[in-house]
Amino acid sequence: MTVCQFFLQGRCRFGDRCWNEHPGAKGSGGARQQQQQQQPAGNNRRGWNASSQRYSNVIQPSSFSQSAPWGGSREQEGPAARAFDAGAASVRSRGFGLSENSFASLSSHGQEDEKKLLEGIIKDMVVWKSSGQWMFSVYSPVKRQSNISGFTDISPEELRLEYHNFLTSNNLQSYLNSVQQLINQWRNRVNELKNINASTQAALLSDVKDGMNQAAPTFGFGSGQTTTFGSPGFPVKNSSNNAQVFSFKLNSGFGTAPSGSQSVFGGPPTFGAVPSAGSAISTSTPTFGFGKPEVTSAASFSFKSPAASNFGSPGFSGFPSSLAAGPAGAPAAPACGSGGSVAGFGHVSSQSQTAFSKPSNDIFGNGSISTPLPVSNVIVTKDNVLFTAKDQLTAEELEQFQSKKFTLGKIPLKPPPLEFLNI
Amino acid sequence: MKTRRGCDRRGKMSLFGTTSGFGTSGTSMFGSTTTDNHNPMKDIEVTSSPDDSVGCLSFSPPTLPGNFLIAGSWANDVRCWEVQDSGQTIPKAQQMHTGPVLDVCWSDDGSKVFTASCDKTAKMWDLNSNQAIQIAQHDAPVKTIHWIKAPNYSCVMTGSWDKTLKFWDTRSSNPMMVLQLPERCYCADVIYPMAVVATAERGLIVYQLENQPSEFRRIESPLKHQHRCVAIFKDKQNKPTGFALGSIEGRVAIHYINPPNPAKDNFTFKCHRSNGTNTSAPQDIYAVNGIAFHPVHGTLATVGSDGRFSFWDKDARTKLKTSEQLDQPIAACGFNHNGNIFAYASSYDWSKVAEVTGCVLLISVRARLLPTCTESLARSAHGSR
Repeated sequence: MTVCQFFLQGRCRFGDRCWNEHPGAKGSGGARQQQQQQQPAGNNRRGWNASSQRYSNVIQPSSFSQSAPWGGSREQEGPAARAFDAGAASVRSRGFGLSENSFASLSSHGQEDEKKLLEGIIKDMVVWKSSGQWMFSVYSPVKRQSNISGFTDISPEELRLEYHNFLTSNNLQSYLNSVQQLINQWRNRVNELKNINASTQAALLSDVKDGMNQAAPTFGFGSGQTTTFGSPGFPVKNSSNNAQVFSFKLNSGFGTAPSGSQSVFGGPPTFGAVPSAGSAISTSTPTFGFGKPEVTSAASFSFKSPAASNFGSPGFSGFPSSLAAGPAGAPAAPACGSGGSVAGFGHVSSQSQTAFSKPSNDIFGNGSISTPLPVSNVIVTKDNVLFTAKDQLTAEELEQFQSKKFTLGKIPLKPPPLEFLNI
Repeated sequence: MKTRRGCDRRGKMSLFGTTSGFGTSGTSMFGSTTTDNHNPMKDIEVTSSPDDSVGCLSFSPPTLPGNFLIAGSWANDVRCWEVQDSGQTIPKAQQMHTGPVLDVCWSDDGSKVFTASCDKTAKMWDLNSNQAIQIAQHDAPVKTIHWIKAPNYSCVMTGSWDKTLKFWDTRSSNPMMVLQLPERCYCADVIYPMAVVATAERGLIVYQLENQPSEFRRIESPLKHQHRCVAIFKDKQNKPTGFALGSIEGRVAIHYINPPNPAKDNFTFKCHRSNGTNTSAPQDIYAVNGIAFHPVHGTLATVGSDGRFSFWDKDARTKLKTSEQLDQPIAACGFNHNGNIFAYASSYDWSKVAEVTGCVLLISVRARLLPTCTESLARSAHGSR
């Protein structure tokens, strides 16, 4: 194999796909295997169709396969691709049949991946702002994962329809106001992501991680009971949430489902489904107060489902509101790691789905979830229900709570002790 | 009123005195010193274009002799033209909805046209009798409509913002089947036996239509932003094998359903950006509004909010050609059944929240669409406001 001159200069456009050799290219082991595969393939290809690798007029290879040397500032997604590449490389080496086992890659790359992810997000935000592209779109930092919260999907046609409706009712000003409001929210969120500080960072990471943990179940498509598919709420959750953020949504059927505007406030089925989906605990800034309900229900789900017998108990309905604090304030805590055990909780939730729809109704009936952060005394009173005292846990469970991730098969069935939460 | 996006590279001056039909605004007022870019490619404009933005267009299937073009607009109407080989377009008929028309399609025998509208209904328009009847009902605007012709059934598939996909036998007012979508339907495409639906929140589902429509697979979106348009492509044996998905971020993903090597075979490419491949300067990114595959060559065309259309070869992964920039975004596009004609609609797509006009342009593409493709015969008509 000839050594690739472009790679040596740091500007090979083909990255993994390049037919020439990239000496000392990658750090991740999976990629090395992949390169070995590529060599024989490359030789074959050369004989077959020499024109496919052109150096001019080429559609940029996808960021999947590009593994540019550090600092290469070219068309690729850079950090985001690398972060994903680690996962992708391990996929390739294991063959397509298996699910994307991002667990493995994450644990080995850990911190580095996070940093790259964040860099990627920042870069994307900068581009988004400056490029003038459509604002009302969801966004996911790494392909194949759930979307980052705080962004909503509105298609241009929907917006235009709104305009038309307002036109007929001669109420253009309110349309303009609503659009302006949406734009401002978008701008705030983008700036927030652009200037990531510690708290948003933690929230973001948990968002993405939980999304990733969730990706595993989605690949097990054959088993119909993965609740992510059973429920209308596909892995992403924020659609109905942010629906109420639009001020004009309520007067004119904005285009989302008719239950859309009421879904948070009293439509049990939609939200009954959400907790069972075990959706990522959404990050919520104070402006997005509505993000909270989801957190509570998700949290209540993850804590309560093993103790299914407690369902009927009156203590239960009070439960979610007091939990408003816990996971929300402690995204990095082991408590959130329970999102990783979604698969384990999968079937439990499907049975408990109907039972949940009621309590979630209560949560939303309140609508008083504007206080995002908890009152600590509330937790104390419900102490025995929410948290187990340390001495009640076995050594193994303690160890699980203390570790960064749960290991499948050893996930504790009891809620973690209060002390372990970082609020 | 039109907005001009700046002159094209060659600084051409184009006078538009020759073509007819400027709607009701009288003669064109283009002075000799201004450059007009509403039709820089010198393509033929269709006479009496709709008065408002065109949202969708579709050519007649091969079963119908000649070429007929249907376009739905935001002025609530659907218009039909006959396109002759000379390039002349003759307006034939028109139907109205009570809301903007979002999608149109033909039945396989070319006798009926199906239209989907924001008035939450879909209609079947019988061209012979020029009658249109309602065949579908949703709870929210109907965004996509496609005709499915299977050996053992045929039906109309409608996707709506009410998060459902419904299948209608045109004779009954109840749907044959209703499938739930994870989110609002944004775009869809059907080539039997495969159907692809892209929804809000980056949802992507593939359906298989044999026997009866059923969900085949949910796919993790290969794109990071909102899905905008999707088109299925076929393999050399003329079987649908994958699809192209466009997003608002100037990017198209080519995705095969069962590729031998997914990591290598699936890819994304950037398009409709202002700086081309040079990304050192911040570039403007435009949404990809429509994708269409050439029925014979398998090359694809994309149209974007930047007012350009481009042709690509996905197998060689190269760009074949990009047009000059039009002064308005291009909202929709389509090939006729043999690929000789490519139609694109230049009209405002709401990407910047402002004014609207509409016109539909056609070009005739010479036999081969390869790097040396030539375009001749621009056909143009302009209905503007």
